[in-house]
Amino acid sequence: MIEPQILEHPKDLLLRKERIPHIWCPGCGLGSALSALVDALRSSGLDLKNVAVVSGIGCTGRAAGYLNLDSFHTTHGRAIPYATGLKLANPDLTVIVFSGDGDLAAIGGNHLIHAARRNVDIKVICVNNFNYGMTGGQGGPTTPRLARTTTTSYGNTEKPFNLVHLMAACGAPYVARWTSAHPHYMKIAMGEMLKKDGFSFLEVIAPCPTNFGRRNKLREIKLLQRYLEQAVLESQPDIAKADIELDSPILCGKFVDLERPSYLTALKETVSAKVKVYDFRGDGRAPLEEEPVKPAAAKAPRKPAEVPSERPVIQRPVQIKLAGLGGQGIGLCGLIIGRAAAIFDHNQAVYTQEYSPEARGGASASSIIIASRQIHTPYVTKPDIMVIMAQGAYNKYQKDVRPGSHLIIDKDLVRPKDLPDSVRIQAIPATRLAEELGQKVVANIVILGFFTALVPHISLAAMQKALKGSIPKGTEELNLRAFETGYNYGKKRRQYRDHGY
Amino acid sequence: MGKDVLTGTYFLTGNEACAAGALAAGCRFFAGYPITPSSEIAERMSIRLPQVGGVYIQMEDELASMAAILGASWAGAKSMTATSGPGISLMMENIGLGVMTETPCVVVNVMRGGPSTGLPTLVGQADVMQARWGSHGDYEIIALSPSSPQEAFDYTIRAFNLAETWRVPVILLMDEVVGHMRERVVIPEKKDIKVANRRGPSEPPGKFKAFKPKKDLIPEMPVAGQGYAIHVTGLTHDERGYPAVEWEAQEKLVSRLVKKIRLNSAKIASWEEIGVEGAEIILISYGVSTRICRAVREIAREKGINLGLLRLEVIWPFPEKRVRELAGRINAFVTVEINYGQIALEVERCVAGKCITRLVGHGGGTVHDPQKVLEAVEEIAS
Repeated sequence: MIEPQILEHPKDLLLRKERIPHIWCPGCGLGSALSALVDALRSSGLDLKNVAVVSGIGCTGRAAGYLNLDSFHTTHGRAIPYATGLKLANPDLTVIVFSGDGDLAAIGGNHLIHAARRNVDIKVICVNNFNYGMTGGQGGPTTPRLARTTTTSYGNTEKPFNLVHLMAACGAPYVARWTSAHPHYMKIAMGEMLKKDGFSFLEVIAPCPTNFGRRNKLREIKLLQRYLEQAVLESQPDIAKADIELDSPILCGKFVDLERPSYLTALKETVSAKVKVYDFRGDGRAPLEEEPVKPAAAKAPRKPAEVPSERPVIQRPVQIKLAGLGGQGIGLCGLIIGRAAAIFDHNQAVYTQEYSPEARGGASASSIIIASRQIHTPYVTKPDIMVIMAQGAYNKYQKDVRPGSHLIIDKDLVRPKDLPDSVRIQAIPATRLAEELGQKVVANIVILGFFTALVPHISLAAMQKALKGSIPKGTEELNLRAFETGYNYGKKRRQYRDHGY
Repeated sequence: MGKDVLTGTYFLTGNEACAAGALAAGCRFFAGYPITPSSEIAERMSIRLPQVGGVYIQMEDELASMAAILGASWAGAKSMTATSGPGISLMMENIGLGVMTETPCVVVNVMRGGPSTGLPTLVGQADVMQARWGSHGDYEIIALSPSSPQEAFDYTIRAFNLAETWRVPVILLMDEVVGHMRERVVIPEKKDIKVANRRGPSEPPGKFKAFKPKKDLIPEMPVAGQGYAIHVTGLTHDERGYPAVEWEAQEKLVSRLVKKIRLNSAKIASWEEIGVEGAEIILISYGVSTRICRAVREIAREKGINLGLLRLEVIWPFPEKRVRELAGRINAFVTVEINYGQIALEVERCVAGKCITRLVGHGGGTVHDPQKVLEAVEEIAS
């Protein structure tokens, strides 16, 4: 007598045997779909070490856990964004999403459409059984009209998604549909998806005899038989006719197969030349060219940061507020003052900006506090110095002008009124002077020069360094002239007037 | 081609400094969705990551952003997202998955005023309890709170190091003021930046169990593509990672998730004490509010009040033991935070009646008026 030999099933290699039996019901289509995937993977020639499967929640969601691959059972609906992270962190991975219709098309619907649009290279297998099986057979986004489920006892009144049409409309470069009664075609489609560089989508119509079948009078094998009979196989099916009704034909086949650069391919095409990096991956293993070592620079000893000899010492924090209309560059002025004080004068500086809902044109303000010691309170509450460049800004911020403070204004654009006598006003026709230099847009730099001449809290050297580092290349000459113009205007005035610092 | 650490002295916003810190810590994957007042972090990452061969992706929402950074982490990335207000509420779902699957990642919440849409451009500090327990189920988490742009840089690096070490999502609880204000930020040389990395598997595939903890309660972490055929699930699972939907497995897993933070809290908790020795009254605060407390402390000292400040660097886990010790020696703790009492409750719990506890809180939109804090202190001192 010959002893029966127990051989390993060829599919066992890809299954976590210790986790079988699975939880799926007799007559369910999930086994066939998973089996087709195993076959497709076995004949794909892929190194299975680099294949990852991601599922959401539900009966189909359990599939990931039965495959002997890196497998991820995530939250309801989020398999696709999770898979997106896996793929973009390690593009060597082949990432498969295996999940259900409720998971992918209802709670995960937003991710589904955006993934198709974005064309991240993930392979999505959506097993559609027309209802929520695991939670007891409730209706969902794919339930056919008039079908009965535990939440559509009177018959479903909503129009279901035509998923293949939806995916095609979103730009998915590969879209197919088969039923679980077509294992051979499923395998072929899955094999094609594994080779495709881009988002690919396969809908598998699968029976759920326990829930969907039972309530629609189609128990167990009858349901599968029905799908087999209803299926219409076409070589070039019309996607617009792929809607599924209870008794309608189920159009099957490959609806879309075209070439479109995947997310990472498009990223390389667009960005690589600009940043001189030719591979992008989140795991930090992208090869980078070595920074060319400049021999002279490499040998030069690092200069310790110099504290300028003329560094102003500021015991009590000085509060400065600058206001203008959006587009006048008042924010940049504040930034330069802050940089000058904090980086080049080695003082402390805090800069904040007031945000108004208008993107352009509204009155806006930026504030700087400068001191030689740590600054605690970040906001300017009692400005010692205000710079105002427009009447609109004056009207809005006049309330902040305090007795005894300094007010610096554009002479032609601001008419101060209703101010306490003790406010010391310094005026400069900044915009007019800028126009004389040929560019109205540098009025802010003219007033910055004026400010520098009058205000002792920031050294001239620091301001000049900060200015150079803060303006666009090619505009240096104009900006330096604007600064000088304002500075000289201020110096002259200082000769005539003691302004009390 | 750019460098990941741009050593130098800058005048940066907290948000910009946070992005610089992330790159210095080794972050190469960012998924996010624009929201005020955190968007500058995403903007900066979108420029910087491609320069260092990393990936920035703008997702369709915050649910997706959080899911994507978990996926990226399991592919070996140091990953991050940044958000605020309504966005952090959406992220809570997958923060739970990150906790359950012990996935290192960093979530930045630049706090604005709430509830709901609240104050998009203005400060709040009311997401402190949400950071701790905002996702369903019981767990412990790590959260840090910077009070300046320099700290935004430093603490972002710390956040990554803590996430990698303790295998938990780490929340950087910034606030709008710190996120938007500019100050001097010094970015050191790359060699001077301490970076921690997760512990990889010490055994080959086969025998190795992906969720079997070591002595410190932390399992070694293989990632996708290493040949371990790992299974990662949000279901309660055993040491192999397989679903185990039963109370015994729940007890074993969830108690470890809690204990790995609680029992190691001496290594994780971190705070600064300013003039605490000999103080009669101590302010407890975090984020931008600590700046106001520093100002108040100076005024109070001038008035002869012996006022100390305990500044929380790490908010969760809370320095429970230290607060308890101090409570036996001082007259009062005054919690200063931009909400109507969140950390204040934690202080009360730890103090357990051993000294006076007070809250100086408000609803958000601005920082505290130092005068209000001073009044609360003076009332106790008198």
